Amino acid sequence: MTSLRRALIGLALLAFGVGLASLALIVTSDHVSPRGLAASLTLVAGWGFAGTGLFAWYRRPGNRTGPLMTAIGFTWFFRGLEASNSDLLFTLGALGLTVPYAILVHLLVAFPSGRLETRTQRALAGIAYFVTIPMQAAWVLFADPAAEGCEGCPDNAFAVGPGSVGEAISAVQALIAIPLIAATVVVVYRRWRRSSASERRALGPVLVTGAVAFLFLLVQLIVGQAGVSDDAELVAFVAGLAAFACLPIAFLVGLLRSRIGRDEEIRSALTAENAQLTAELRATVEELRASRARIVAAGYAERRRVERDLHDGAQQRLVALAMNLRLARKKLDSDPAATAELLDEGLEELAAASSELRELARGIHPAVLSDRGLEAAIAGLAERSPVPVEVLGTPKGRLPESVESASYFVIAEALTNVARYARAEQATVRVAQANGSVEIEVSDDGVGGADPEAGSGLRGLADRVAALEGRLEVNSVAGEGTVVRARIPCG
Amino acid sequence: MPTTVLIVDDHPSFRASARRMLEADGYAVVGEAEDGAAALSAVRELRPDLVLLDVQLPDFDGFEVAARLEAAGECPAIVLTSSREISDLGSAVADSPARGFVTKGELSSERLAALTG
Repeated sequence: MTSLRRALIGLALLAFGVGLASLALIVTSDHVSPRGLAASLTLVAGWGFAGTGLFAWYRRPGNRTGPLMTAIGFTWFFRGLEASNSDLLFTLGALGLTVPYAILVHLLVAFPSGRLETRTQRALAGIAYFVTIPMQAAWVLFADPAAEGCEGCPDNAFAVGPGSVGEAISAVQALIAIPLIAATVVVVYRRWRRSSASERRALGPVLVTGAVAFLFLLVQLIVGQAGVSDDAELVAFVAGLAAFACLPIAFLVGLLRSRIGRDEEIRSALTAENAQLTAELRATVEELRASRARIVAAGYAERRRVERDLHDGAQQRLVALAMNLRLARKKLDSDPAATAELLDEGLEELAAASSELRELARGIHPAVLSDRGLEAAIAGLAERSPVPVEVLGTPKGRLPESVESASYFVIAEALTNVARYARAEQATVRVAQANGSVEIEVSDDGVGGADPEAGSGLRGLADRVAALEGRLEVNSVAGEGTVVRARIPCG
Repeated sequence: MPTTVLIVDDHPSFRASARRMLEADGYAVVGEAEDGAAALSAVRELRPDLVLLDVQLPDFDGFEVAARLEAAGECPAIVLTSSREISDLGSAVADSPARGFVTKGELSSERLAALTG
């Protein structure tokens, strides 16, 4: 159980106890009437506010509405103290009697966050607290319950001066409270007007009920000040209390409706998120499509290159060989010396054709790789490289064929680039197996400044590596050599 | 008077072998060219009787060379050659002003003589 939850349960029990105590004081009161109505309104409002407030506090600890409502609930029970027949309790009750109204002003003008954000909100709440706490305290120092028409009320336990001063203070309180309440109702109305339809669903019940409660309080104060009709004042008072007691219910209704509203918000948020995901997915699909197209194109380009190499290389040599042989045959009898020369040239062409075919076949797929694995194939690459190559660590066992093949071609392409462009003294090949991946690094001490996007060779390799869920990166700062790194998962 | 020949091919080994073969059979090889542009200027300069013209050249292909020669009013006998088979080249040979085509593997003076009549 969280400490907040423990504290809130404690407060709930306290509110229950305070409510029962208030009930006891009200039903035994000599000066409250009608006692039944007062008791039920006090309990409904007090428990209602405290319960709803604690619930809201628990659900949204960051929102101040919960604590404010809880405070209204607790301060509401000053009404119970005020019902007491004891002078001290009665006077203490009178002292706190109006505080819940100030908290309600605070709650309504700052609804639903509970935070006083604008100057108007702060001013209204400030005035409300001023009227209901220090002014109320000042009034208590002079109030004379009997003189104010309370039959059977206990005496003021804190009275220090004449009741007339108390009456004057009370009148000033009412004169401040009337415009204050009117202003609060206006602020609440404006807040309601500004709200969107979904906000109105959530805020409407509290704002409307709060405004109604305050309108009755306003009527009660005005009628009271004008002194026209005690009955009217009482009716307004009871109606205001009833509206006040309904506020927690209104709050719950708003909460319920806002939850429904929030479902819609969640739905629209989900829709937005969905759209975002769809867009990301589409981008990924685009990227995959592009890389697939590049792989296919690279395949065709590779076949074209092989055809070209065959045509320009071995085939030309064989054609020349055939012509030489034909000529040699023709000259066999007439010019044996020329024939021997032609045959020698033919042998040279044949050797060159054979070597070119071997080279080409290795480019298509190096036999040593499938026969003896990556280590031997890398050793072969290093041996054939015109730039001295140091090989540091190669995987001992065999890897999946596609991984060995991609690793081999990454190293072969990188070393070809080193030989062609890097003007390097030395290259280093490092192959390590770690975390289920092969990590390949080919570095050189050459001129650097290679653009990985520019060459189709590395780009094609990057696609090939990506097709195995791997990554290829090229770091090539001018003057600092080039490092090609690839990481390929071993399946 | 021997028939004068220009050999157009980008492979030096082919040019050398062809020259030797043709010269052995009494042709006068008056020049060699390794691409289309060189072929055009060599024809203008050397006025050969016969152009042995490789289909695949680095700049533009043998069909283009033949078409330009015809357009320029130059009319040596042209024989196209390639290491490919004629069937690999589609109808291009038939559509060109060349006298004929011979696969490099079957190239001989007798074939040339038969094609150029």
